[in-house]
Amino acid sequence: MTADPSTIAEYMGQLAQALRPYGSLARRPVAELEAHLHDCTEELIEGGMPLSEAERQALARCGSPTTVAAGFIPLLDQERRRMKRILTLISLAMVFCAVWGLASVAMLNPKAELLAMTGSITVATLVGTLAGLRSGVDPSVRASAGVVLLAVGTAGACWALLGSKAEGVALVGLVGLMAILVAQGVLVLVTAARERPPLASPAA
Amino acid sequence: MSGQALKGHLELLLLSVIGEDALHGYGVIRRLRERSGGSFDLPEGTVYPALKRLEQAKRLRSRWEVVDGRRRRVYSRTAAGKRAVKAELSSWIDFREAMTMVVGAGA
Repeated sequence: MTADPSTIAEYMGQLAQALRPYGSLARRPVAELEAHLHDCTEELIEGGMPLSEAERQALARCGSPTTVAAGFIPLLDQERRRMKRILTLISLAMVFCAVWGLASVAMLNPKAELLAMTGSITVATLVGTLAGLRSGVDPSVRASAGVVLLAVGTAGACWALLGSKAEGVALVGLVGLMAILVAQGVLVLVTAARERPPLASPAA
Repeated sequence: MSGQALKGHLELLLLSVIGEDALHGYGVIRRLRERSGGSFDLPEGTVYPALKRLEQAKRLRSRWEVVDGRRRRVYSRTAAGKRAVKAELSSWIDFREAMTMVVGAGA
């Protein structure tokens, strides 16, 4: 159990510790609270209070660092999920462009087919693995990883069929892969739009 | 008044005190205290998550400013925040009237 902080520095240390898992996202709340505590202490000193008593009272008015951190945690979780979604969308867009580009090359130069398919599968696998590793508790990112892995399977099947020079089938596979990527991007956006933060109602 | 009693009204109170002016967190708390005649007694640290929640809901916007040599996050109300105050104020008035009818009848 952590002892109650008796100075602003101790308070800030405990708050920063409680919000440590959020890394750079925690910088803003920590900076705001620090400015608040200094403002409050200065005002109390101007009112004639000695420094140590002013600091003690400013900390008491603010509430414990654990309580303050608990207020921020759901908001920071939401912000982190939003950032993960942006990363997922960027990854999907990159895979889409990679597949598109490689498919164009493959269609222009049949000798490049193998390179194109290998490249797209490698990129899709990397993104799928990264999305899976970073998924945490976010279902949209988990779904993203699943769909990207499905896309890898589709691409793999096309690759196998390329052995018989079935360019038509390969093209269908690539178009399918791109459609899946676009669908997944839409899914991520829809999930984000549905997850607006609820505000307390007056009667709550 | 305790922080618990204010909990459901905090966001309406914050949107109301911020009004047209840009205010930093401590300024918001001070104005809240002044306008309530010192009645609103809530842990000051709980105001900051509420401000952030309002910002995430696009009812407030914020930016960093340096005031008296200290960096402060300054908040101002958006058009959506203005509309929210109107809507929530009307909802709060209905709630207050209903409470008065029930509690008044029992007194």
